[in-house]
Amino acid sequence: MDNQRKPVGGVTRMIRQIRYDCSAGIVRVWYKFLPVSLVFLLAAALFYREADALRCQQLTASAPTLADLVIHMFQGMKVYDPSSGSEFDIPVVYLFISLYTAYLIGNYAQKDLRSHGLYILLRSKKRGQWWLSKCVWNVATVLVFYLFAYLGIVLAAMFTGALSFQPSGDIHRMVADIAEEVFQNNRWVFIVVLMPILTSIALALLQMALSFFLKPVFSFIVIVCIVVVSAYYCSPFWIGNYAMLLRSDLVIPDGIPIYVAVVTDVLVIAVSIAVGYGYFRRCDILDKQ
Amino acid sequence: MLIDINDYTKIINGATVLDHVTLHMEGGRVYGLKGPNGSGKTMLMRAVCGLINPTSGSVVIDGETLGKDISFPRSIGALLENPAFISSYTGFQNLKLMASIQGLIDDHMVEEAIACVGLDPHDKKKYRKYSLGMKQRLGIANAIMENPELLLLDEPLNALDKGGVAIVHQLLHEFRDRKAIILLSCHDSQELVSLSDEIITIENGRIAGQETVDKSKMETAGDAQ
Repeated sequence: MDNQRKPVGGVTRMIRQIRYDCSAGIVRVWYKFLPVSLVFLLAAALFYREADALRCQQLTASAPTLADLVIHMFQGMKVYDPSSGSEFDIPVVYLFISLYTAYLIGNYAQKDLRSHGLYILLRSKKRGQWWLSKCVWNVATVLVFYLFAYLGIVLAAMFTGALSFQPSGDIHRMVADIAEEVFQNNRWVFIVVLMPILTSIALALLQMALSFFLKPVFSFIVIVCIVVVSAYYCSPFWIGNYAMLLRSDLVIPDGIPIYVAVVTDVLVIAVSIAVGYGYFRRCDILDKQ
Repeated sequence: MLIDINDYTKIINGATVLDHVTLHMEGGRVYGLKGPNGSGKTMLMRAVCGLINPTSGSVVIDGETLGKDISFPRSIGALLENPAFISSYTGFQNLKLMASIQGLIDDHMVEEAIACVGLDPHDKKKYRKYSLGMKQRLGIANAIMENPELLLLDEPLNALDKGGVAIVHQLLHEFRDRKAIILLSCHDSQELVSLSDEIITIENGRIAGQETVDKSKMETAGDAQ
């Protein structure tokens, strides 16, 4: 075992560690992302049926476009007012997004550390580097989730041939009570496309940081609670609201301003990374016992 | 390489797992840790690895303090508890992934390390199909493949047959000749004595004794038999 090379520098080691995490934590478990496309494909099909029924009744004029699918998938649910006597409409897609990403994040970091990841850690030479690599994996997992989600949505749109990204205001007015004026400028694109991703990243990093203080199953439960409570209460304190178009100030008068959503999400991301970094640099790495 | 463990104490949840441990270790020697279950052998290894932080005291490796100057020893190979790798990869794929982090060795050297421990580097069998003995051998290969200056082996002989034990003996001799520091634990006292140059006895987290193994007596006993 002679002829050893010199060790690579810190940046190269970091890149290789990220490659390891993405390989072990995403590529190797690619099959876990398939249900995402299927769920969105199914949800799109159900939306098409609903929109078609409206068109048959001549309540709307347009067939759903790709933009309409995206809006419908990521609109969330209307503010629930129990005093109005209306039923609580379970936001299936919103809950699926939040809970499935929480499942994907799961206990990967902890499990990795207590198995082969320990030997990767010793080779990385820096605790902080290990944590940052896990953060990159975390964000990549969320992005791959949305990639598969959009794959399902685009496939659905391809079946009907309506790949335009022009929203049909009349459909959303009938289905979700959204004023047609909402789609007259492009702010809706930011809220519908970017905010769910940013919010999912914030929740995922928060979950991973919490998993070092609580057991992974409890950090999962915390995230589930945040997500479910956000569905019930429209409040900037419950960050699940930021992922829903129907809770934004673009749609409802006392909705959540975009800048509040962005700043809070970014704050949650930064604090989760920083707290996790600070904790992991000093914590004891023990076995299960 | 020189390692100084200076009055190292570690308290976890009110329990003192390492109690004022002081040790000096030099390259070219095998240090065998002896003690009952829960005495602190594995915890001491974790301390030397940099995986735990002292409540008081320090571990200094070649003048650098763990947890202050460096997070982990600069050149280390370890087998801690049960080896664990990615179950859907082959042995070679697993070690190649490990080796890719530091980039110290190429694929050929990974194959050499696997062959060194008596495994077939071209075996397509996934890790999940490995026997316990094979898993242990792969764990040892993972520890030695980058030719580390510090080698920590926690119960390396577990699940190994006679051939595997002989391989471990040979590897330790080679690493000792290369002036590495080797710290190992083994529940078989006879094997521990035959593998080690010094035996460190740990009880309740404290060093209860440290003695040099008299190899000449062992050779005489061997001749007499």
